[in-house]
Amino acid sequence: MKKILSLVLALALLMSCLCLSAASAEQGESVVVGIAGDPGNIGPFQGMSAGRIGILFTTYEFLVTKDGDSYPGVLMKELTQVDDLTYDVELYDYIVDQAGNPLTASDIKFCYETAQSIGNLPKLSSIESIEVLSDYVCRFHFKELAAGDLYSLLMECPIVTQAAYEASPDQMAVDPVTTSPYRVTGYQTGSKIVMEYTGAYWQTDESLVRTTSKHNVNSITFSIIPDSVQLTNALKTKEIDISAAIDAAYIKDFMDVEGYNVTRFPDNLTKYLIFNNNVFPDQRVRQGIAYGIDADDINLFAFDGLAMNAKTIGNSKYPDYVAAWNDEPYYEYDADAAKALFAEAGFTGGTYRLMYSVTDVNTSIATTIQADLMDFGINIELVPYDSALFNTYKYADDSGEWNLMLDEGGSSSLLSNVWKLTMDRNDQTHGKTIGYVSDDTLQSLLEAAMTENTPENMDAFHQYLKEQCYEYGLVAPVSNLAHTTVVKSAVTCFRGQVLPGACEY
Amino acid sequence: MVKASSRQANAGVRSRRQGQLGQVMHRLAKNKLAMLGLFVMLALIAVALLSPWITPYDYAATSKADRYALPSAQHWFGCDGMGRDIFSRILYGARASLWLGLMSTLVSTVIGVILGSLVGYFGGWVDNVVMRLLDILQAIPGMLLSIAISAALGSGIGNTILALSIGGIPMTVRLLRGSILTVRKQEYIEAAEKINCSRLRVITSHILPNSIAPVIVSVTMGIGNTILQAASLSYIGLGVQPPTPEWGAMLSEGKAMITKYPHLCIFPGLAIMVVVLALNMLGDGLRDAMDPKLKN
Amino acid sequence: MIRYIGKRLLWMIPVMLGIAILIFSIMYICPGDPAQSMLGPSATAVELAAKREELGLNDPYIVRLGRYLYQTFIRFDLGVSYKYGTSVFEGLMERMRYTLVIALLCMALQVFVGTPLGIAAATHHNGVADRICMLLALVGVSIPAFWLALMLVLIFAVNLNWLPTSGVDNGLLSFIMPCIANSFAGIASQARHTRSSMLEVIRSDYIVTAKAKGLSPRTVLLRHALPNALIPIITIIGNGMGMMLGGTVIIENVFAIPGVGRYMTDAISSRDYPVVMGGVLVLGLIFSLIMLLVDIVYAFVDPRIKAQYEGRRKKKKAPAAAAAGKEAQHG
Repeated sequence: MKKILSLVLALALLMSCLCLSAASAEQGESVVVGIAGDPGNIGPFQGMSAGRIGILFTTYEFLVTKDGDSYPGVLMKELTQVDDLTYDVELYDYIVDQAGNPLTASDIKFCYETAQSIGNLPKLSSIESIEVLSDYVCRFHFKELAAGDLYSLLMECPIVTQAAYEASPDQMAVDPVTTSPYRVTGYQTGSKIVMEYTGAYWQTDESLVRTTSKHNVNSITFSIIPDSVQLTNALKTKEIDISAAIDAAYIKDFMDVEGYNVTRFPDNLTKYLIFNNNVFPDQRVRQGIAYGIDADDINLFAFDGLAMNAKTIGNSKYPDYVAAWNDEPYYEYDADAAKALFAEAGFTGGTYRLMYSVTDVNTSIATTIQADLMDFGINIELVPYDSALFNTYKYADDSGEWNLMLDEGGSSSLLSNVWKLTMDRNDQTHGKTIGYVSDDTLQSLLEAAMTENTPENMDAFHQYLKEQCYEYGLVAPVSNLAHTTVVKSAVTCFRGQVLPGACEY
Repeated sequence: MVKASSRQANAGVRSRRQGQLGQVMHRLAKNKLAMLGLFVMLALIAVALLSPWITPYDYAATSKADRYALPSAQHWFGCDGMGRDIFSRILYGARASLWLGLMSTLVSTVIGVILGSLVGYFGGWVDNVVMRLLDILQAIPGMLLSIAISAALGSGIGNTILALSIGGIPMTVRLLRGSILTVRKQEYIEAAEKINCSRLRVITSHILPNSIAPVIVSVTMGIGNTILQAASLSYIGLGVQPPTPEWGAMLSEGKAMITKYPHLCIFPGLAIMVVVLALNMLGDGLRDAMDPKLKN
Repeated sequence: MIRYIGKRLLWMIPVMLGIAILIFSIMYICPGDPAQSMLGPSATAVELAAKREELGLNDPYIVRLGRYLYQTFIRFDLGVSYKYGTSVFEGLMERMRYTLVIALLCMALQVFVGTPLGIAAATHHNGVADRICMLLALVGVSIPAFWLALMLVLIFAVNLNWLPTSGVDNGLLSFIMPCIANSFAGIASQARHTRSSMLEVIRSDYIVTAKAKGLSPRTVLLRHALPNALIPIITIIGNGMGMMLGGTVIIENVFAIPGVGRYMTDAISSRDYPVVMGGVLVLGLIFSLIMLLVDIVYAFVDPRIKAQYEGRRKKKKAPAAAAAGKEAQHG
C-alpha cells in the first residue's frame, strides 16, 4: 500500500508541476474577468440571465449601443423616422462577420424575426414587422412605442448573419459567429469563456468604433465564480484581474489598497418596498411604515454603508430623473411621525408577511426591516422564495401570499420604464398594479410620464406616488468595479458590466 | 429460554432484556467519553429550553454601534454585522438547531422502524415492494432531494425537517431489516409465535427490542449529521428563516466576513462541532456497550 | 450468479420508472413557473401563456407524465434544457467528468488515508494512537464541508498562495482543496469503521488461534485479520461513491467547479424541469449500477455470501450487509 501511495503522490506532484508551467506560460496581453453567473448558452436569441448579461456586449454587436445618454449606431449607419411608428435603419455597407459573411438588411429581418418566434426576448413583441427596402436599408414597423422604447428595441436583439446562424449545428450555443472584434474560442460550461481578438474588425474607421466594440486586449477570459467570497478571494490572489460582481460587503478589502483600484457607480437596480393595497388600504399606515423603516440601517447592514438612500423608485442615473428630488425629504426615518400616523389611523400593529427573493443582500434588508418595525408592534414574518417562485407570486392574483414585498427594478433606458414595471396596471392580468392598486390618477400620471417624460410630468407622478405611498424606494445600490492595477482604467457598459475590450491596460 | 407458558416466556424475555439493558447502561456508565457526550447533550438541551430566560441580550435586537464588535466582557462572542449579540444567538439558536436535528431524525426513525419491522418480519412480497420503493428514494442523491423538496414546499423549519428526514428513511429501514433478519430465525421468536402471540406483539415485544441496537447507534450519530446537512442547506439559501437564529444559517451568514471578522464564523462552527462531537461520543459508547465483544 | 445479476438488472427497470415518476411529481407540485424564469420580469401575461403552451405546461398531470415517460423510456431522449436550450444528456455528460474526478479522488483519499488510520487505531486499541485517530475522526465528522473549504482557501490560496482559489484550470492542483474539504468526513468515518471492523476480527477465534500458533503479529495482522476486516469496507466504498456523485453540490458551488450538482441545483431554482429530471435519472442509474457492482464484488470476496447465491439463490443477505455498511458510512 505504501508503494501505491508514494506512486500516487509522485504522479500528483509531476502533474501539478506540468500544470504550473503551463499556467505561467500564458501571460501577456490577456485579461481575466470574474463573473458570478453562467450564461449556459451563448446563442444570440436566448433569454436574459445574470450570466449572459456579463458577456453579451463582448460577444455580440447590436444595431445601436448606449453611451451615456446617447445611442450611437454600431451596425446602424443612420436612422430615419418615416412616421410615428415607422423607422428606416440603414446599415454600413462593409460589415462582415467573423466567418467573412457580409451583413445585409435581410440578416436584420432574419434576426429579429427568429428572436420573435423563439420568444425569449419578450420586448420584441412591440415590433409589427420588418421590411427589407434594399441591401442595406430595412424598415421597422412598430405596434406601439413608449418613450425610450425605440432605442431599447434596436438594442434588444443581437445581430448575426443568417448564413452563419444556419451553418451552426447548435444555433450558436457554444460557438457564436458574430460581427464583434472578439470571437469565442473556448467555452467550458459553468467554468469559463475564452474570447480572442480576431485581428480584423470590420469597422476600420476608428472614430466609429463604439465603446462596446473596442478591442484593447488580445485575449479575454470570463471566469465564472458563483460564490461571492470566492470571487473576492480570486481577485485577492489576482487570479482574476477585474470584476463588477464583488459584493458591497467585501469591496472595502480593495479600496485604497496597494495594487487595486475601485470604481463605483450607480447600479442599474433600485430596491423598493411594495405594499399590498388590499392589506394596507390606509395611506397613513403605509406612510407610517415608510417612516418607521430606517434606510440608513439598511444601507449600513446590507451594503456596509456603501449604497445611496433612494429618493424615488429608481436612481439618479436615468436622464429623466429630476435632480431636485435629491434635496426633498423622502421618508427619512422618523419614529414620532410613524407613531403619530399609526395613532391617527387607529393602527395597532399585527403580523405581516414580507416576501422577497432570496439573496444574501435581500435577507439582510428584510431582517433590518423586521427589526425596525418591531419597535412599532409590527411583527414581520419573512417569506423568502427562490426567484422562480417569487416571480410567480409577484404577478399572480392576491392569494394572501404576501403583504409587503421587497422588490428591485431597473431599466436600460428611462426612469418612467422602471415605474412601468410595477405600476402600469395595463401590464398585469388582474388589471391592477403589482401592489393591487387600481388608481385612475396614478395610471393617467404614469401614462403622461411615459408618453412625454418632461420634468413636469415626471415630477407630477413622483409627488403623487410619494404622497400615496403605494410603494417607495429604499436604497439605490452602488456597483463596485474592482480591478488590479493590470487594468489601468476600467470601462463598463450601461448595464454595469465590464467591457474588457474597452478597458485600458 | 423456551418456556411452557406464555407468561413465563414473556417474563423470561423481559428479565433478560432488562438485564441486558442494565448491562448496557452499566458498560455505558463506565465509558468516560460517552458520559461526557451525554452530559454535554443534556446541558445543551437544557440551554435550548431555558434560552428565552438566560440569553443576556435579545437575539434579534440590532445595534449600529456594535457592528462586528469583537468578543469582550459585554459580548462574550462578539456581535455580528447587524450588531446582534452572537452569544445570545448561539444560545437561542440551540433551539432551532437541536430541534431540526432531533425532529428530522425522529421522523425518519419512526417511519423507518415501522417499515423496517414490517419488511423484516413479513419478508416475501412486502419486502420486495417496500425495498424497491426505498431503492427509488435512495437512488436520488439526498442533498438534491432535500433541495427539491425545499423548493417545492418553501423554506421554514417544518419544511426543512421534512426535507431532511425523507432522505434518512431508507437507511433506517435497511439497517433494521438486516438486524431483524438475524433475530427472526432465533428460537424465542419461534416460541412466541407457537404460543399464539399476536404478530404486533411478536414484533413490538420480541423482535424490535432485540434488533434495535444498531438503529439507536445510528440515530445518535444521525442527529449530528442532520445538523450539518441543515447548515449546508442554509449555505444555498434554504432552511430556517431569520431572525430565528440557527447555527448553520449563522455560519453561512458569517462566511461573508470570514477574513475580517472570523468570530462570526468560529463560534457557530464550534457550537455545531460540540453537538456533533458529543453525539458521536455517545453513539460510539453505545455501540461499544451494546456489543460486548468489543469491550474487554 | 448470472441469473442473480440478470434479475437485479431487470429490477432496475421498475426502479428507474419509479424514480422518473417521483421526481416528475415533485417538480409538478413544486410551485413556480418555468416560463416566468425563462422570459424574465418584463414578459406580459400573454407572452407567458404562449411560452407555457409551447412547453406543454398547460396539459393535465397525466398527459405530461405520459409524454415524459414516453420520451424518456421509449425514445431514450432526456430532452432539451429550458434555460440553456441545449441537450440535457450532453450537458450532463460534460459536467459528469468533473463530478466523477472529484468523487474518485475523494474515494481514493478516503480509502488510502482512512483505512491505515483505522488499522493503526485498532492495533493500538485504547493507546495514544487510537485516541488521536478517533479524536481526529470525531472532529472530521463534525465540520461542515463548506466551512472547511473556505478555511482552506483562506490559508492555502489567499495567505500562502500555493493553490488556486477556485476553478478547474490548474489540473490536479485545482482539485486538492475541494477533495480534502469534501472527503474529510469520509476519511473520518472510514477510519472509524475500519477500526471497529478490525477490532471485531482481532477478537475472533481464528486470530486467537493464529496468534497461539506463534505467528508473528505482523503476519497475523496482514495475512489473517486485514483481508477479513476489509470485506465490509467494500460496501462503504461503493456507497460512498454513490453518495459522492450527488453530494458534491456544496463543494462545486464553493470552488466554481462545473459539475452535475451545480447544474442541477441551478436547474431546480429556475424550474428547468428537463435538467432536474434527466439529472436525477442519470444519477439514479449510476447509483443503482454501483450498488449492483458492490453486491457482486462482495459475493466474490466473501465465499460465505457467494455460497448463498449459488445455493438457495436468495438475494437478501447482500443487501442486508450493504445496509450495515451504509449505516457505518453515515456514522
